[in-house]
Amino acid sequence: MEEASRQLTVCNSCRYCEGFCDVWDAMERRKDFSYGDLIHLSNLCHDCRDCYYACPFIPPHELMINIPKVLGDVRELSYEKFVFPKVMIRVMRRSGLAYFLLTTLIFIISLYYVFLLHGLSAFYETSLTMEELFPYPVFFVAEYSLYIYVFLLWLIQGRSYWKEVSNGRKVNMKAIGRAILDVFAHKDFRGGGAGCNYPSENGSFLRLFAHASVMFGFIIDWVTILFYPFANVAVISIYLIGSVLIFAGAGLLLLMRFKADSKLNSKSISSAFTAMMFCTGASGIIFIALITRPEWIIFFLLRDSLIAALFITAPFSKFLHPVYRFASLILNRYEEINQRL
Amino acid sequence: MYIWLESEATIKLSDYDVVVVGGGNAALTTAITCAENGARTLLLESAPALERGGNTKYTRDIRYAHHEDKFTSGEYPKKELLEDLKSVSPGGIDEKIASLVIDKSEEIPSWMSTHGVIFKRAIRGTLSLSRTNAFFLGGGKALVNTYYRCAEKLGVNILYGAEVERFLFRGNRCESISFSREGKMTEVRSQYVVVASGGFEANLKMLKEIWGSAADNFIIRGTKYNTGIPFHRLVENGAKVTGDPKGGHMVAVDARGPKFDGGIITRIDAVPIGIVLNKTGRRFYDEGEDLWPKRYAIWGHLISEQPDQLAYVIIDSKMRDDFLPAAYPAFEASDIRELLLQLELPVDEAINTINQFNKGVVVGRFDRTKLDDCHTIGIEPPKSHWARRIDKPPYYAFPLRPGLTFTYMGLKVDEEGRVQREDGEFENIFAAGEVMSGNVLSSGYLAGFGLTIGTVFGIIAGKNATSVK
Repeated sequence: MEEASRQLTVCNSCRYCEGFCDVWDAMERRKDFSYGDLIHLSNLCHDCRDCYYACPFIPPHELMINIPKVLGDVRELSYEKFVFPKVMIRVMRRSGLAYFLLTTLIFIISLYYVFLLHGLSAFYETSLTMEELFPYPVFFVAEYSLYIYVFLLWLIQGRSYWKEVSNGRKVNMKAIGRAILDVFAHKDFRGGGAGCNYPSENGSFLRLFAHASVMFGFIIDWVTILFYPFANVAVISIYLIGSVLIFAGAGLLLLMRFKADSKLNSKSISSAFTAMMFCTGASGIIFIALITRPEWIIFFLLRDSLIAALFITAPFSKFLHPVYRFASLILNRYEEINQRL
Repeated sequence: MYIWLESEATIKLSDYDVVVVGGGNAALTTAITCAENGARTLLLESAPALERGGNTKYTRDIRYAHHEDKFTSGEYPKKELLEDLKSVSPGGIDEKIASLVIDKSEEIPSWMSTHGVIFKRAIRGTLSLSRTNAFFLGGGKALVNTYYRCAEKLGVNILYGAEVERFLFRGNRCESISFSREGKMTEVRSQYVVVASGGFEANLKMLKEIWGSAADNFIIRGTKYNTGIPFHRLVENGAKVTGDPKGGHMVAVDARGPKFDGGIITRIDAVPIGIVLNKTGRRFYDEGEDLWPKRYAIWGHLISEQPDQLAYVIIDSKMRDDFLPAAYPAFEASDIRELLLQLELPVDEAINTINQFNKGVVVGRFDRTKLDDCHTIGIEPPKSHWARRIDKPPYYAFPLRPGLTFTYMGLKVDEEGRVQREDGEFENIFAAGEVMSGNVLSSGYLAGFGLTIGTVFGIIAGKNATSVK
C-alpha cells in the first residue's frame, strides 16, 4: 500500500499517461492517496499496461515505477478485504482448488441424481429431453436461489467497498448511466486509442475483444437460460453462440496471460476464473453439439456443475471483479461530472 | 540483414547506406525517412533497449505553426512562433534556420500521425490543452516506442548499447564508424552518417570544464547517455561548433531527485507561490516576476549562482494546493523555526528574511493564473505578484538544485543539415536534433520546440542522406 502510494505520488508529478485510461484522471483529482483511494484506483485499472511501456521511470530507473504490478497487487488485496463472511478468504486464496472440488462434487451428485431417476441407460441409450432431465420447477428453484444468494452477498460486499472508496458520496443516476456505458463500451480497454499493451508492448485491441467476448457471451447465455427448457432451435443456437464467445474469449485471455511479461503480473486469482469460464464455454459447445445423442446429458450436467460452482464461489473469487470495477467506474463518472472530490 | 565477420580486434559489419548515431526523436525520424527512401539503415543507440529514446522520453508535446486544428485550441501563425522564439532567446537566433524549421513545422502533425503517433484531442471534457503545442498520448516514451516499431517494420537495423567511439575519415568524407558494444569494438562502413546523438548534459567532465566546480552540484534531468562523445569526436576532426557552451535548459528541481534521468518528475512548481531562500537564509530573486511558464526556465541558472547551488522554496499551508504536486514529500513543521532547523538554514537570518517579506506584503486578490496584485513594497528583491504572507502553519519546504535538461552547444550545420567544418564542410555527415539545436537558438527555452527542431531536421537529414530532395 505504501509502495502504491509512493509510485502514484511520482506519477502525479508527471501525468504523461493522462488519456490512456480513467486511472490517470482519477489520480489527478487527488493530492495524496488514502487507503480507499488506492483501492479505488486499483479497481479502475484494467491492467492494459500502456502506462508501463510509456513510462521512462520503470526499472532499471531508480524510481522503480511499475504501476500495473503495484495496482494489481492492491486489487488482489481489495478482493480479500471486503470478503463476507471473512472465513471465505481461505476459499478465495485457493480458488483453483475450490472450483475443482466444488465442480466435481456437484457433477457427481447430479450424475447420481440422473442415475437414480432414470437409470444408467439415460447416459447412453434413452435420450432424455431437458424437461425430463430437470423439470422446470426444479431448475427454476435451483437457478433463482443461486442468483439471490449471489446478489445478496455481492450487495453486502459492494456496499462495504463503496463505503471504503467513496468518502461518503452518494451515487446519482447520471453517473450510473455513464458507468454502464463505460462497461459495455469497454472504455478502459482502449488505451485512449492506443489499444492495450497486453500481453506485449505492441498496442492491440485483441484484449478488448477477448474480454468483451466473454462478457457478452456470458450475458447472452444468462438471458437465454431464462428460456429453459430450450424449446426450439433458435434458442439453442443463441445459447451456442454465447458459449462459443465465452470459450474463444477466455481461451484468448488465458493465452495472453501466459505470454504476458511476468514482471508485470501480480499473483492473481484471475487465471483460475478464466480457466473456469473456458471450461464452461467448452462444455456448452459440446453438449449442444451432442444434443441429438444421449451423451449430451453428461456434458450438460458438467456445464451446469461448472456454472453452479462459479456462482457458489462468485462472492469469493475473481467473479467479484465486476462489482468493484463497476462501483469504481460509477465513482469515477461521479467525480468527473462534479469535477471535484 | 547484416553479417558479422569476426576478426581479432574488431568486428566488421557489412556496409550500410546510412548510419544514424543516436536513438531519440531526431535519430528515429532520420532512420525512418532513410528506410522509406530505400536505404539500408543502421541505428546506433548508446543506451540499452530498456532506456532507449534519449531525452525524447521526457517530452510530451510538440510546438508547430498551424491553422485551427484538432490537436490545439486555436491558430498559431508562423510569425507568432518566430516572435516567441526570439523573445525567449536573449542570445539571439539564426533567423534563416529558425524560419526553415518554422516553415516545415506545419507538416509535423501529419507526418507523426502517419507514423503511428496518437495525439490527444485539444478539448477533453472541460480541459483544454494548449494553443501552441500538440500533446501526444503517453508522452515521449510512447512516442519513441511507436517510432522504434515503425523503424523495425521498415527494416532499419537497430543496435542498443552501441557507443560510437571514432569516425574514420578520408579527406572530408567519413568512411566508417567504430563503436563499442558489449565490450567489443565494431567498425561499420557507410555512405552517409547522420549524427543525432543529443547534447552533452550527462558528461560531467565537460560540464565541469564549462561551469567550474558548480557543475558538481547540478542534477541532470536528461538522459545519462547524452555524453556528447560523437559531438566531441567530430569537433576533434575539425567540425565547427555553434552555440554558447553554457547555453541549455536548466530549471529548479528537487535536490533529492536522482542525479540523472529525473525527467519531468523532479520539477518544483512552488517557486512563484512561496519564497525562495539560499543557504545564507536570504532571498535572491523576484519569485513572482512573471507567469511561471515564462519564468521557470531561468531558475536553474539563478540557483546555480547561489552558494553550493542550493536553495529552498518555503510555503505555508494556505499555499499547499496552488501548484502541481511534487514527487517527493515536502519538509513539514508546525513551527517555522523548526522547519528552518530541518533545512539546516541559519535560523535567525532566515526568520528575519521571512519577517521582512511578511511586512512588505501588500494584501491583494490572489490569482495564480494571471499577474495579480499581490505584491511587496520596500523589500529587495521584491516579489511582484502572488505575494502572500508566510504565516499559516504548518509550513512546508522543498530543497532546490539546478536541473540541467539539455545543452545547446553543438555542431554547426547548413540548411541541408550538413555538418560544417572550420574550413568548408563534411561531404557525407549530417546532424539533427539536440546536437544541432544551437543553430536555431543558443539560450532560452521554448517548450516543445526541441522536438520540432529534431523532427524537421531529422526529415531533412534523412532526405539528404538518401539524396532525395
